[in-house]
Amino acid sequence: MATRNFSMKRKAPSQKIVFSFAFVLMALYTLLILFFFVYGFLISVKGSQLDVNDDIVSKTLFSLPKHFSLKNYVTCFVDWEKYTNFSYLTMVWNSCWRTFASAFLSWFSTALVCYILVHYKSKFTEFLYFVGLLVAMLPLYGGQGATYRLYKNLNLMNNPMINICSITLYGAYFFYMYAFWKSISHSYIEAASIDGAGDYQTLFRVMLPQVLPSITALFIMQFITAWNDYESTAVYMPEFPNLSYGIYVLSERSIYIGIIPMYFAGVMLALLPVLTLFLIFQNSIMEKVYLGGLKG
Amino acid sequence: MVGLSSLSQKQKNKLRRAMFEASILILPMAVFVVFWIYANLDSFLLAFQKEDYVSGSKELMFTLDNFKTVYRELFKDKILLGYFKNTVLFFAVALFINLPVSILMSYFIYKKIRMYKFFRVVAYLPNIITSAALVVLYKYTFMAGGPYDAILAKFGKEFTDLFTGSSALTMLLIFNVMFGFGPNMVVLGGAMNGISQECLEAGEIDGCTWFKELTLLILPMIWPTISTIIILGFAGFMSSTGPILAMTANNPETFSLSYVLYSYATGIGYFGQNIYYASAVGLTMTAVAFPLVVLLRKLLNRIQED
Repeated sequence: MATRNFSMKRKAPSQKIVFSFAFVLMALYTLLILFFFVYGFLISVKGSQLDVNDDIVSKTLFSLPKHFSLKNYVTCFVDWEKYTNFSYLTMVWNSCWRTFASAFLSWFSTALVCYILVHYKSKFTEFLYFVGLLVAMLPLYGGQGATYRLYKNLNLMNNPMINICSITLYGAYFFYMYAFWKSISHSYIEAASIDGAGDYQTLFRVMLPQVLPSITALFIMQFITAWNDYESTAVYMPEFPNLSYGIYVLSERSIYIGIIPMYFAGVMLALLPVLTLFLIFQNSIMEKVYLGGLKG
Repeated sequence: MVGLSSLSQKQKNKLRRAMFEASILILPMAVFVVFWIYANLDSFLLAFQKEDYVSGSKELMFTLDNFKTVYRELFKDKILLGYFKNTVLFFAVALFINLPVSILMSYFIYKKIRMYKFFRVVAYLPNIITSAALVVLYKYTFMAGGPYDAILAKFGKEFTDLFTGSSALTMLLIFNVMFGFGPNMVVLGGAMNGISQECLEAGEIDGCTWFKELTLLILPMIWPTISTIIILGFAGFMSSTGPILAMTANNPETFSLSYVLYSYATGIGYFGQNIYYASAVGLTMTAVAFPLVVLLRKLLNRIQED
């Protein structure tokens, strides 16, 4: 870190201009992104739908509220059900257990599978890695209809057991996990074995703790993706709606039924858990996640 | 049957190791066989089937009609061709705008530009909010009474709805560009963090400018990561899309092949459910994309070797 700071101080004037220009551009981009979040918050604290209507007529929707109110953050817990047939609390609960179950199962199974593929080399594990490579690169597009029919035939629609499909051989972060395990020397396994540790002990007490900081970042990313997924909820689990699905369903109606401030309050609340998680783990996510090349 | 006690220590270790591997692999493999291999094989068969509505029995019968419809919609009516063009546009934007800009942003963040931590957090923010909500915020920005309308009014211009007609596709593409830097930045930032400092210092002593440092030192060193992003992106290039379901679900001018497949396969969105036709479209897409992916991988590997 010190060497990098040292090099920054010795930048030539032309370099400084480029870096200053990049700073200005990135600051503008940051303002643009933040604008959307501030805009959503401002609408969510407007006193009533009438205030919103007035603002639309006067073209001042992006403005401080005339009557600042946080009551929308309370009413969305009470009134959401009137418009979507499911309560906000139900959605919060569904989001929590569904997201945790699917993200954890996929993350944990992929981590263990990659551990075997990297540290228990054999012709069979090499074959499995090759199949993973093939799966990632094979552009197969037509499976959705068959998957839909399969889930229906197996009675997995609107069934919590659907989470069993998250136990994957090649999860979303397969190649990342593979790269993480490859960075851990195999000699730890040999040393643990000499000390009399069994395979499970070696995995859970010696190896897993070493990759945990990195793969935790992947879990958070997977958690965020699952938390925000509404398209698969719409297809497979509409009777177990999560917050994202509720937001999607209500967004289809909000313009017409006059509950825009409450809707945006709901959006802001849904954002809180993942935002908190992201802020806690942002250093891990931004610095420890890396992806190697595809060999094979 | 040979008892465990009669096995040598080496054989016992081998057996224990095999049991350990099996305990971890067996369930994921079973799920993979059922939900990936079977589903994809079934989708192949579905493409050649249709329900017999004529006799009213609704029994499945072998047919090439789905492919005939694909052919007609692709080359005669050119409906699918339009969706294909949109898909290529979505992919091109991701490859030629999002990826290069992500590389540049990652570079400046890697070089610890002022407020770099804040910038990288904000760049990832769009990825932590559900796209359904982000789409609504985006739409409210450009709707009547919103900030866009206010700016137009200041310049005496009349408001036009940008989410209808042909401008809707542009709005989708802008959305993809604006909010699409985060994931690439995470991966590229991680790759840059793994670069040896000594190498960059040597370049600096030799008088490398920032551009030379980026193009001649950093890019070659993170090339495996970049080529992986490109290969994986290309493998799924026909599934390139935007948040069509939430933004422009009733405007066919904006449809991508991925959205069409989703809608036909599930019955949600613009089209009614037809899993047979969806499978035929998917199979056609695979037939077109597969050779391209193989060629691209060879090309990228050659670049890496060079």
